[in-house]
Amino acid sequence: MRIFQRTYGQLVIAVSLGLITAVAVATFLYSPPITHINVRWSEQLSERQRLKSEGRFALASGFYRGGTTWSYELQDTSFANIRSLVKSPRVEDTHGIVRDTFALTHPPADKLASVASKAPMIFFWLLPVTLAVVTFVIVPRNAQSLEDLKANSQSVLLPLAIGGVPLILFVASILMLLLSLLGVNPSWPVVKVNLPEAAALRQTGDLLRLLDEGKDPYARSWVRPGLLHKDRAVEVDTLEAAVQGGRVETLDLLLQVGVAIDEEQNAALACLAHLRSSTAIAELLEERARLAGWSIPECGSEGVR
Amino acid sequence: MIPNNANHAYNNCRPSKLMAQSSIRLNKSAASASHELSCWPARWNAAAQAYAVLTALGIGYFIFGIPIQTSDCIGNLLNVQDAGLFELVVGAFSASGYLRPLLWANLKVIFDLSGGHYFLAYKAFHVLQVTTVLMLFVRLLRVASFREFLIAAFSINVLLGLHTFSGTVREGFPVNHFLSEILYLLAVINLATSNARWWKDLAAALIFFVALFTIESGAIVWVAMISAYLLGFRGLSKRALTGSTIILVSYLLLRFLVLDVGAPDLSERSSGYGFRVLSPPELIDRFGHDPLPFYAYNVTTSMLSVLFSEPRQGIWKFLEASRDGAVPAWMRVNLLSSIMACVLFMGFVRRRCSQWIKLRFQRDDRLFLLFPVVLVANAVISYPYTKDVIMSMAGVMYALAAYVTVKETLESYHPKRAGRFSVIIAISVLTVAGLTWSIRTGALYASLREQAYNVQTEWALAWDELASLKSIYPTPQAALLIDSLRDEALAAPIPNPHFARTPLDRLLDPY
Repeated sequence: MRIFQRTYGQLVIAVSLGLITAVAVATFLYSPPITHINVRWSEQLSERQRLKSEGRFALASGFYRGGTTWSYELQDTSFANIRSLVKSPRVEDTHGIVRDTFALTHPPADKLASVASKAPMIFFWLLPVTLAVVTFVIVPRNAQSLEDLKANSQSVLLPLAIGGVPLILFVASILMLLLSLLGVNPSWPVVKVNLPEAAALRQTGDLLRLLDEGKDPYARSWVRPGLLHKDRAVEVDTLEAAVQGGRVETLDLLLQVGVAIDEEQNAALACLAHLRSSTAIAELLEERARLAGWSIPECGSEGVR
Repeated sequence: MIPNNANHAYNNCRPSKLMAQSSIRLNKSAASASHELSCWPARWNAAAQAYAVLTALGIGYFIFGIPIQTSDCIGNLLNVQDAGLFELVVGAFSASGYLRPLLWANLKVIFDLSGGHYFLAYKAFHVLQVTTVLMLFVRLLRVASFREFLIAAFSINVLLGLHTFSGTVREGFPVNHFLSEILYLLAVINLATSNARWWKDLAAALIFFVALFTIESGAIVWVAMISAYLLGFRGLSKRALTGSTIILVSYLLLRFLVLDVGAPDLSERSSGYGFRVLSPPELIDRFGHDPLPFYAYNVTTSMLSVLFSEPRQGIWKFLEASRDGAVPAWMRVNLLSSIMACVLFMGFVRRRCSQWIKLRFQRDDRLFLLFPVVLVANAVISYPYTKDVIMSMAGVMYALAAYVTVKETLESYHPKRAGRFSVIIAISVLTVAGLTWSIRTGALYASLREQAYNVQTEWALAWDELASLKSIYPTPQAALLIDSLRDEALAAPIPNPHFARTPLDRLLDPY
């Protein structure tokens, strides 16, 4: 069988050439994975000091989030840089960093995963470049076939080139819409979580609903891998999950809705917060201890001393 | 003028009697345009309308997933609950910096008609607005063939994917009045480009009145009406333009002389400048003595933002990222897609400008030229501060211009004269354009999902804010309203961003 007067062998060569070119272009254009974190700066920090600190900790593309909180792209993901950021007195709290291990909550992928993560970018450039190279090789020099191709290009090929992908996206969105009638929608992936997972994820709607349903916030449950620990499940209670996840607002919410903790629990959680360098959480619990007339815990490297 | 490629489709088309009568009143070119209007083939146009409606329903699914928000919204609802319609409208005339009586009327009417089903009522209204906007947009395209249908699909993606549109569907206050303004603009342009009728004059003036007294951007509707007439569209008569001009002048007199409402000043809100956001005290400190350079900056960056997706909200994010050597993939996608669209615009201008100099305009020329006019007007009216959504009216005209230019580019492409390279390059470039704008549309869906999570979290955490609202509105009805909206928001099944992540996210604009 021949396509555009070309044999299968020539077609294979064309596709291979196309792929090689596409990968070369993708590699050239590929941008490294970017890690987003939030930083809550100290209220005493001046504008000038903040800008200086941003440079020091390699924080780029700052986006103001409200209060003293900014979102950044962390360009230096080294352990040393993250540790200095977390330990800095200018930083009140962070999001996106496990504060006791100075690791990123969602670190850039390892080598294999990194290749996989490049797939969309490669695909993005691969499609048109491959198309161009393949077309170049297989478009015939034979006058009649070339005329046929040209004749079709204006009415079909070019409009399909620009409208084809939007049409595919449209069909996909309609499929999603139809699936949602059956109660399934992959574009709206609601995952059931338990109380500690809700606390770790800052999934406050589920958190309050589960509490209303009478679920025990002190009961320990397994938090799936990837939430509190990169690749293993962790068994914690809801308060611990909030502290380990660095979720000061979630912890505050739990306390406000009446999840009671005694002096001993308060001290243990405060020390856990110190261990994870969650200054804001530690301060919240210490303030609570002060108001209740409890002693302020002295924390060692292993927790409450 | 009927395009050559559509000849077959127009074979069975006859001008209506009414059309013929109206043609007598019009000049020759306008009559020709009107004939064209009554005859465009129904099949592909209907397909494009169906495409628009289904797309709007797809977006509607996400809109219904977002609870009614707390910020900029719950206070409005409590105001509306607390006061009568007359009181709200009159009260709006004594506000400082803004004159928006019909915004309050709109909120109040829906509130009262909802019968207590506030979420359903406001969300349904939002989806209805999106659907109407897309239908009015497609109506202007006059899709007449499969080729034009595909180009329309592309231009709808440009409309949805442009960053100026996302704020109109992501947020509800609880009615998104920026979306309302887009709707008014498209409605008036549809009237201006259709056959002249007395009731259309009346409708256009009424729409302009509503637009102007809803938010300040409504003045752009007047600019569009006047420009459409000057460009040769005769759907609206001089009567409509005169009436609308009287409304505008009355509004300005009322606003600046009678009520002394004034305009927002530097202390109103933060704004992007250079590489960062300046807070109101910083703005006053820097530009308090002479705000003109700041206003000029806002106007210029607002225009550039629509054209090139950079700067964003006054901040040069791409330049900053380039300086730091780490340009995120989504920024590249945005910039590439916008540059491709601008290249198409420039090609169109180059091919058509010789005709424009001779004051010869085809329908597509007129539609295209509305874009720069609305762009400038929209940017000028946005002088106090920059925000993506404020430029949404110009964004819609950008998408319309994209349709016109792609259509004309493909029509002017002569495959018989084109070489092998030309075909290959054309296919590749257009594929990349379709792909990049589709990615940007995908970002819209992702941002809606993210917004649902943010709004739910806001409700759960806004203890102090809600308590303070309850003290400002110390009625049982207010407490009931707050509690019922909160319960509804917290019970909503909303995906956590952690589980919704995909490798494609890096290509999607997070803002």
